[in-house]
Amino acid sequence: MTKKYILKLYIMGETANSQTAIKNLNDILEKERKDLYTLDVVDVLKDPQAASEDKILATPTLIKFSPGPAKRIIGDLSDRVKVMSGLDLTDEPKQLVNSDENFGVTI
Amino acid sequence: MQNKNLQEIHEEACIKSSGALARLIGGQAIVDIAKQDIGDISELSLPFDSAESIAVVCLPVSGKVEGAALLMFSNQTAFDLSDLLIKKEWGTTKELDELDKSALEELGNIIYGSYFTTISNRAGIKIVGYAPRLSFDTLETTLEQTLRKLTQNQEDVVALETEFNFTVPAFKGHLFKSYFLVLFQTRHLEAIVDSLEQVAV
Repeated sequence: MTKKYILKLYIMGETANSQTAIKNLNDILEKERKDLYTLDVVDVLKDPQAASEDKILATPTLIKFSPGPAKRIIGDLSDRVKVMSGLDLTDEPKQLVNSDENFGVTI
Repeated sequence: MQNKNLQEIHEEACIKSSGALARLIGGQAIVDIAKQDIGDISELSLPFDSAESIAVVCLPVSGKVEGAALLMFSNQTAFDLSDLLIKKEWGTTKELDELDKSALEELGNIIYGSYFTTISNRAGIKIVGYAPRLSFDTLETTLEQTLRKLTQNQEDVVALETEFNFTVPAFKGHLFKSYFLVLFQTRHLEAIVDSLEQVAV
């Protein structure tokens, strides 16, 4: 059975890159997951408490909570290959840019 | 114009800046990663009028490359930042004393440090930043003075420009807006880009 994706996208106000991230993510999800996902878009200016709880460093940040393991992708999500890989939506995941210096996140 | 390698450096530097900012203010800071544009000085899309008085933290750059970094913000943002950095009551700063100025210079220092350390690490090019200095002047004068120190020919200079905006959850809903400009001599930026491409291969 295909698992439903639970995602949260943190943005900052109505900046151009935030809107780009929303559009890029919606394009990917509608094509790859159809209705099999829940996406919560959180504006850190309106809900700083949520950003504190999830220890957000930068926006846009996409968090995949489920299916596990949880993963974070930072940036405007314009690199489709990286986003697909970060969301485990590819059969052959590409190597992620991932290091301790990046706080363990994909950028 | 954009460059993928430089954009990745910019994104990594933003994340590092977020961590450094958090340490400076003793709480969480969230940096917005904006798109970086590269172009001639004449093509800058600056958010200030050329005659508007602004606050600028300037840091000359030397080493294998020569250039300058400018962190610019409105005078009101300078006051707001002072409240944040010196941990004063919100809205109380109406003019800057030496401590306020020093704090703003330190803010510039950590952003520049994050940026140039990332470039140095990725490109393998040594970049030395001098002490940052805060000044208040018009945008036009600031750019003129910076360029005069950098080169005799303005056409030899290329600019990396981006918004540098961040928020602090403790100051609910407030967006600290600044503008980050890095000026390199064209041949030096080309050397950086070449090094990054060689590393990426």
